[in-house]
Amino acid sequence: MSKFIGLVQNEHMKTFRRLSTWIMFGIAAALLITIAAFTAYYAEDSSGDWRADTEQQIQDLQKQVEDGDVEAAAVQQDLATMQYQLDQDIAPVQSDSLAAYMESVMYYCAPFLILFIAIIAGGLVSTEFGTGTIKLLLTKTPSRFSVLTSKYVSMFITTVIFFVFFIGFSFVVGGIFFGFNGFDAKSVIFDNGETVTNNLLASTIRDYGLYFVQTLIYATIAFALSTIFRNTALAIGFSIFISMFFPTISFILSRYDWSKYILFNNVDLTVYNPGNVPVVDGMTLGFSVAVMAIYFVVITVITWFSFMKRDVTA
Amino acid sequence: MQKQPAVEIKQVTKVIRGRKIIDRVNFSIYPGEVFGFLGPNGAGKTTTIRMIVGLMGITDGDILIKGNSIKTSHGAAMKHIGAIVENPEMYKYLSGYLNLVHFARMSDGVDKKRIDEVIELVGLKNRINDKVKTYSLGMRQRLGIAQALLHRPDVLILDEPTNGLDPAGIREMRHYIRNLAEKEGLAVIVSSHLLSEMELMCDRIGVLQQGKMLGVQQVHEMSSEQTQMVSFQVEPLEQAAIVLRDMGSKKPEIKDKQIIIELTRDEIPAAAAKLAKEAISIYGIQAETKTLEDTFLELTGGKEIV
Ligand SMILES: Nc1ncnc2c1ncn2[C@@H]1O[C@H](COP(=O)(O)OP(=O)(O)O)[C@@H](O)[C@H]1O
Ligand SMILES: [Mg+2]
Repeated sequence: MSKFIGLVQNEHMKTFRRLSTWIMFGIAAALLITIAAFTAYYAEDSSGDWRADTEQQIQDLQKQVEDGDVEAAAVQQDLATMQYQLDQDIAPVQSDSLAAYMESVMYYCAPFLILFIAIIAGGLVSTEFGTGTIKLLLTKTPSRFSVLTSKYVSMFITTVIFFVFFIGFSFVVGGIFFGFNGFDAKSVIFDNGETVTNNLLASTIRDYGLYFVQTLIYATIAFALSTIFRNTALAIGFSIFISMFFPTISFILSRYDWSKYILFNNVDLTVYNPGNVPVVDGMTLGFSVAVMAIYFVVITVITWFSFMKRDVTA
Repeated sequence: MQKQPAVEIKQVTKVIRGRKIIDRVNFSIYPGEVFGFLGPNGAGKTTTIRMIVGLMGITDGDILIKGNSIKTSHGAAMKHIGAIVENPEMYKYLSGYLNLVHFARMSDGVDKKRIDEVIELVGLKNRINDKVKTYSLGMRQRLGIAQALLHRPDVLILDEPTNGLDPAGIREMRHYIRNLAEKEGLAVIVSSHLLSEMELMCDRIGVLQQGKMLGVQQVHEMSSEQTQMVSFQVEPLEQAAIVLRDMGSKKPEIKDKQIIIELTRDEIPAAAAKLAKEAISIYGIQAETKTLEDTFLELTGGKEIV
């Protein structure tokens, strides 16, 4: 066991002694600070009375409906939401607040997490083949199974580190720019014809958690391709391509019922959040988790088998 | 001195995509000896070494390391082996020291003291904290040997260790290898496509060609049984031929005003004494030691080895 921990330590050393890993953290930090700065710069003046503003907005919308400028159905949700805010005395979330900033970081920067983790995962095994160091790695006492498993465990921990960094860094940056307050900021969401409230910070953390699952799936795919094809470019390229373009493909395929069995239609669990809808009608959280679990088992079995059985000719 | 072999290669065959790369190769290496694995490029030296260290599967036959089959007890077998397969590839973005820490974590009982000891042994102390990408090939070769020796193996395997080294580097490598076998009792397997190099550092040399082991030859101690061609410059020739008729296994030949006869080492002074006794004038005697090269040319059927 202590040997296995040593193997994981080795993988960590290799990941975090690489300049490219630190460049990723640098890019992430720069991005988060830039978003904070822009948000602070462009934020509307919020010193006024939000109730008066909201009432004014409701009146404006109602007038537009009466004049026939907009369909009544189109604005019905907005009207209901605003009325709910007035009735329940819930102030709308200001864009220049810690909670709103953390939420927008989550939405705009989460794809970078997939990008970074896929780059790291896609090189974990194939670079050892590329540089020939795989020969040293596999000619020591640890079995091939332990070597590969230690790499996967290290990848998992690296993913956790990146998520903790995103959450922690955006919290600190958000706090510095917008003040460490407004932890109870609530958003109002229209779900199944009902208006519900939602603690913004809590839902942001929840979405990070759901996004972690998705990141891990893409990372596992990159890791698998890296191991099976021993080719870094292919592993990184394919997993990033799918993560970026599948939503488009998914939209085209969504009219076919069988498309719900496609792995990539099940990785985004935020579609089961209140107010969202799944890709294909009738899909449930349990269904998606089951589909992911099955794909995960199949992919890992093929990956480990390939690594343990094949000749090393690097 | 029938010691337990450190490595036993038993009827090993390797087939890749229907092609027989290695064909029933059979040999053993004993503690304290340097075994040369000689063969032209593409003979299958690296493939054999890859099978010994478990990087490639064995199609047929078995390989035992200190009695442990590499097929069924990878961990127990690898405990005894230190190897560099082809080039000494290390993590270039890490320092030499961190590379050794990396491999120390993969082995049992390698502490900081042992790492320092090995660094001292290969003479990398001054540069060990520099990144490997700044190392010369010779230094990387030394770091490779350091990682191979870290866990105190009984068998050291070096695949073409002198490739790309300058003459001074080659001499140094030779010195290391002899030292490890003689002083530490390691069994060392060294592969090369150069006979001249092998002759200087090996105790025995096995010749591999097109995946087949053609024969294993002792290098240094020429046994007293071994014969060599001896030429006598004598007068008169015919009389001398008669005198030497009973010696050697074959009849003496007269060629270029010399008598040429195949004798063992011990028979040479006896033949000279006989000639002197018959009052034959001896102007010179030359023993034409059969070189390893001749032996190998015979083994390989006259084809060049290099
Ligand atoms: N992975 C492989 N697939 C097919 N043929 C191979 C493979 N590896 C080696 N060979 C072939 O096996 C033979 C022996 O190669 P190798 O062991 O590298 O020779 P050496 O080390 O003696 O130069 C060569 O003919 C080579 O082409
Ligand atoms: Mg070779």
